[in-house]
Amino acid sequence: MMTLPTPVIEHGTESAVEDQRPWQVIVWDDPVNTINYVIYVFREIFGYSKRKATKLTMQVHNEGRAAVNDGPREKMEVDCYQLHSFGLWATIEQQ
Amino acid sequence: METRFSSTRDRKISIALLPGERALLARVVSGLDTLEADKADPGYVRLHPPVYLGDDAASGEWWRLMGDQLEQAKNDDRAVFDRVVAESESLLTLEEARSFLRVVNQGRLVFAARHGIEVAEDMEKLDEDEDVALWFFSYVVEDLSSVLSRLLR
Repeated sequence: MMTLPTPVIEHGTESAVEDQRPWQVIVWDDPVNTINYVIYVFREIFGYSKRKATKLTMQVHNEGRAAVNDGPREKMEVDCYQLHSFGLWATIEQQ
Repeated sequence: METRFSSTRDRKISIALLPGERALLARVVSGLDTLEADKADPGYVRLHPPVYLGDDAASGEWWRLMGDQLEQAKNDDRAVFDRVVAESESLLTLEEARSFLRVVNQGRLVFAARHGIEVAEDMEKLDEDEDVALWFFSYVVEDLSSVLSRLLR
């Protein structure tokens, strides 16, 4: 049974200016995960509509990457965890 | 190819795999058992990528704190997978079906990484047996994720 991790990473070294910039989770293209599978994963994890999940998946496929969600760093780290659990390569970056 | 997965009225997933298919799944997925032994293994690298590009310290911290939970979740998923491939027919909850799906996809990713598949054209490097194995894993992932997609609200 998959349970979500409790965010435990404390990030206390950033400056006040950096803290104001939003974080986002990026999914990268790979040659093995199929388009339909990635669409399903986006819908499953984020509750996106089929239309939005398809648009993001095609962005990953065509442009090599797509920002699939943004928000507080701790939330993006949990999103990243979920995406990794489904085998997608996800990274976190600040906008 | 006849579907091996279907949903029931009470939102469960019925799985009916042939003996040879279950054996193939079990054989390829057993490759996950040796992942931790060699951190240079392409399969290990594929499942443990950096999450903060250009910041090894932050990536290391993420993996240090989230990695154990991820490994435990994978072990739980694997228990479901092992049960399914030991049975001729299975009836899974949606969560169990997602567990099964994640393991099959991990097996597929590791198999591909170990065979040097980095771009789509690399698929041509596979011999016939390897190509059939990867095709079948792709079929399972596509078919099951399609059934699960139809159940999303």
